[in-house]
Amino acid sequence: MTRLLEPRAIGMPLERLDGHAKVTGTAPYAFEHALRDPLYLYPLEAAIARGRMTAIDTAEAEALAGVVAVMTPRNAPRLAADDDQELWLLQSEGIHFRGQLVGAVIAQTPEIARHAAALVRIAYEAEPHDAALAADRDDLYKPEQVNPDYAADTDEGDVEAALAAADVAIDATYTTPMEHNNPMEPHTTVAIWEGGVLTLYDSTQGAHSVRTTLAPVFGLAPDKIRIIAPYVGGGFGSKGTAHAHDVLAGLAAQMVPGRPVKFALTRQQMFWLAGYRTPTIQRIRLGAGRDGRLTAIVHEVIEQTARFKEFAEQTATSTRIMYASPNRRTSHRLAKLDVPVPSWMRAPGETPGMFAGEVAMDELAVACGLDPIALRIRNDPAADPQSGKPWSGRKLVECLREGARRFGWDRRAPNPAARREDGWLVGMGVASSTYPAYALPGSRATIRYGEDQRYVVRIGAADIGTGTWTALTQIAADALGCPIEAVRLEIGDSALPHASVEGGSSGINCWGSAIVAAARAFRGQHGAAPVPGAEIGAEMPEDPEAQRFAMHSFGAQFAEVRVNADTGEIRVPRMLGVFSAGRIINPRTARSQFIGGMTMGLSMALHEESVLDPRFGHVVNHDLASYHIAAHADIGDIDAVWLDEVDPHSNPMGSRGIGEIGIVGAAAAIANAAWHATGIRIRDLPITPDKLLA
Amino acid sequence: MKAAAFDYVAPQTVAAALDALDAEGEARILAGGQSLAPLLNLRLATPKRLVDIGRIAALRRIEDRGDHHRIGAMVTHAAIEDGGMALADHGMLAHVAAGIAYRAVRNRGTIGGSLAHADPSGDWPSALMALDARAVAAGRAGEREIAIRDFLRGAFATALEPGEMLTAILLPKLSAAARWGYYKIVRKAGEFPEAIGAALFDSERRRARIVIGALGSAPLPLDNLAARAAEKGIEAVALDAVEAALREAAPDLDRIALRHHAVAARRAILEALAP
Ligand SMILES: Cc1cc2nc3c(=O)[nH]c(=O)nc-3n(C[C@H](O)[C@H](O)[C@H](O)COP(=O)(O)OP(=O)(O)OC[C@H]3O[C@@H](n4cnc5c(N)ncnc54)[C@H](O)[C@@H]3O)c2cc1C
Repeated sequence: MTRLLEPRAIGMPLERLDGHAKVTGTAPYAFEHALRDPLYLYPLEAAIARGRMTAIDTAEAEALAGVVAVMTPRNAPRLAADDDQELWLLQSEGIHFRGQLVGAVIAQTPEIARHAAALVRIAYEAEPHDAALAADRDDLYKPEQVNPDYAADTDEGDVEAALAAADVAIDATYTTPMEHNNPMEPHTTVAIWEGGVLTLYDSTQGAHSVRTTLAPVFGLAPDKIRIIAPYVGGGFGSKGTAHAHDVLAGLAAQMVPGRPVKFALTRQQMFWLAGYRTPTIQRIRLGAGRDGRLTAIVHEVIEQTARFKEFAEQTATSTRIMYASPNRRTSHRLAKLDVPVPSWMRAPGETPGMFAGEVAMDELAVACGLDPIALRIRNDPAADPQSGKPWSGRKLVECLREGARRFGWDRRAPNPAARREDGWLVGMGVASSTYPAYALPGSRATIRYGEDQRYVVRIGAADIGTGTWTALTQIAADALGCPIEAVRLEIGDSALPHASVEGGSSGINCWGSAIVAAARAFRGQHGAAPVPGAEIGAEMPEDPEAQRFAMHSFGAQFAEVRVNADTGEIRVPRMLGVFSAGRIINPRTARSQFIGGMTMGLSMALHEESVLDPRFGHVVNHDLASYHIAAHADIGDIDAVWLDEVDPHSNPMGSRGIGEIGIVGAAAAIANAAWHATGIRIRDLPITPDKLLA
Repeated sequence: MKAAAFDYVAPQTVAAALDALDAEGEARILAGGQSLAPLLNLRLATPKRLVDIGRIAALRRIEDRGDHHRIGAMVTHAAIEDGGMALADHGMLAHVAAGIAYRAVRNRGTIGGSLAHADPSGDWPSALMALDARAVAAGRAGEREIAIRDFLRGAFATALEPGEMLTAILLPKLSAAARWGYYKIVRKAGEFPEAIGAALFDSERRRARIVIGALGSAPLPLDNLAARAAEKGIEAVALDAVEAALREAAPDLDRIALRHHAVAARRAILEALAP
């Protein structure tokens, strides 16, 4: 059993320690660091989806007053490693997708840079491109693995025989559209090349992961790259990896040594340069007995990747662990298209996969004449169906029951389209939620007792608006057995001890474990009354229990939906999420994560859809005027609660991570509630009035 | 994006503003900037000169003119929402104003700018048409009045001539018996509407109006339907009847757009006529 911390500061709803600086505008985001003599970069972007550049005329741009340099493949510094084609910039004339970075203008002001970029003339030799995903393509292929390292396919038992013999069977196809992350702060990098060292003020979820990725690309030793990111205005996964703009800024900086080069993507550019969630086409087949007990589960996924780089979303992996059945099959097939490469978007895999899976479960409940909660409870597996390992704590059933009680599920009519109020059809829906407890290796923390009698806790962790500054301070205080005022945390810099990326909802688990290890080592070495200057570091220990248990968080999402009988207008007046995610370090920031996730799920259910024009290979609605995101006024009474629990196997805090589970299942709960309201089953997101009127 | 270079003038009087507007259409009036500024920044509009009419005090006034109010073109949505002045409109303008975008937009956006912009999805064109308002256009030759129906020529098209500007809206006073309804269907809070319905029934003044907005063209008055509703009551304008009237007037609408617009109108009628 993991030695658990005694909770004193953790579990307290501490206000954000960085809150004051943020609301008063003094917390510097990437673009805002006060640097002397900055230059500004505006990129050149490919205007075709596939082919090559045959000529680049930069004369007019170079002649413009205030332009310092125009960088193209002809004069760009050389890069060292081409294994990541997304980052292999300006090394050839080739074009893989529309909007690809093919050059840059560096100028005295952002306005001049942008104007000059418009003066550069590029001639192309276009090749036919292919940007349309379809289920009936004959070139779909099986990836070697899906993100991050799951098998692409699984197959157990004999699903075909079980489906043929099933009393009740569901066979339906669900689709989710291309979706884009839109954090408030755009992807931004300020690069400085000085004395053989590249410094990036970056808007990133992982200072060290960007360093690790970029060092070989630039052919630099890791200690010759420094990434600084104390405050980050949201990421949702899109800042979890280095993207091309980081490389472009780094190349530009090498052309103007000693001068900072500032580069922030425009909102539009974020729609092709910062990753996105692949569209998915998901066929689900379920077989069950009359009693609803599952005998077969099949989840077959078709999705896209870029021809020049593979990203395979793990859309069906949640299905592997959700419900018990002797016969189970999952698969992922990809189409390689001439489009930007997909990437992480909050709970990649679980988010689209659990939309399809949990709507399918609702359909099965209807087919079996069972309450959807009862169906889920009936199929709750005692151990992980995939690995056979015991759960470190699977409390899905408790979440469903607690949610049902709080939400007033007993008032739900068994039949759809049964409640009508003032011209609005009213329904309730439920869906399960899940997310794995990832533990990424390699985080390290140091603790030093300072002259000011405070403990300086250093780790290169990231706070992307989630509350890391606060939560890690709480963990450090408990680990050291001191008041939180006695802790001075330093994060957001690759010059600090190595930290894993803020991704996979793993940040607090990993960084907290490293801090606890360091604190224990510190007390062991220096005792309760250290002398100023006492210091020690420690790495996050490996968790032997991780091998013995299947560790996943679970939750239950409830939604009330109103659909106007005349127009199909949809409103979601009420949502409730009940989560089982181990110990909650800070209820205030945790609630924001859960509610934020659920809100993003509502937005996915009703609004978000990137429309890719296959004729040109670009997203047409590439701005917030036409890519719709739920506004405050779209959100009614939304609440998140959690079970009061501690995971005794996960880590010393007993936590499992909370950043992503809130979005998982939210869209399914809304789709299921829309069905309950109207009797109309919508299997294609987003749920818009025209689909309900069709 | 940043706007292309332009000259900027901020005259103090309408006469000076008219002088600054050259007849070739190279100058553009800047009111609240809530539609124009994005157009400039996207370089969809590249005027040589901006004539900012925000300093012309006369355009910010609302005056009682006996049987109507004269509302200056620069009166903001927010000022109307806050209702500093009784307009004899039974609160319709304040209601419409409060539903435009969000407060930050309303603080700067103006009724005149909105009408001159003539966005088919804008609120004022439909609402003011239902109210039988009139636009006052000023040019070198003086002022002329144009009924809103004639003023709105199509999507983003008005009866303003080059060199003319909109100075005021004349809003007829409603009788005590008047009833109105205004309904818009929005997919998401704060968005431009998918459909607008505006209805006005003033039995004492023998006026009945039903206007459909957000059509992609100028708002569409359905006078016969309105007359029928005024005469026979709610029963005469069931959803089917509204849909039929609208289909006849706008045969190109697809099934779903037809339904949305008919429902918006029907809800506006219900608001106005419900006992
Ligand atoms: C986010 C957002 C949401 C919005 N949502 C809505 C909505 O839901 N409903 C709605 O109705 N509107 C909406 N608007 C538009 C808003 O109402 C604007 O205020 C209005 O369209 C234009 O008014 P303005 O005073 O800002 O005019 P400006 O933007 O300054 O000008 C608009 C146009 O009219 C011309 N013009 C302005 N005044 C005059 C004049 N006196 N004479 C001649 N020409 C003139 C200008 O030259 C320009 O071409 C929204 C705007 C934004 C930014």
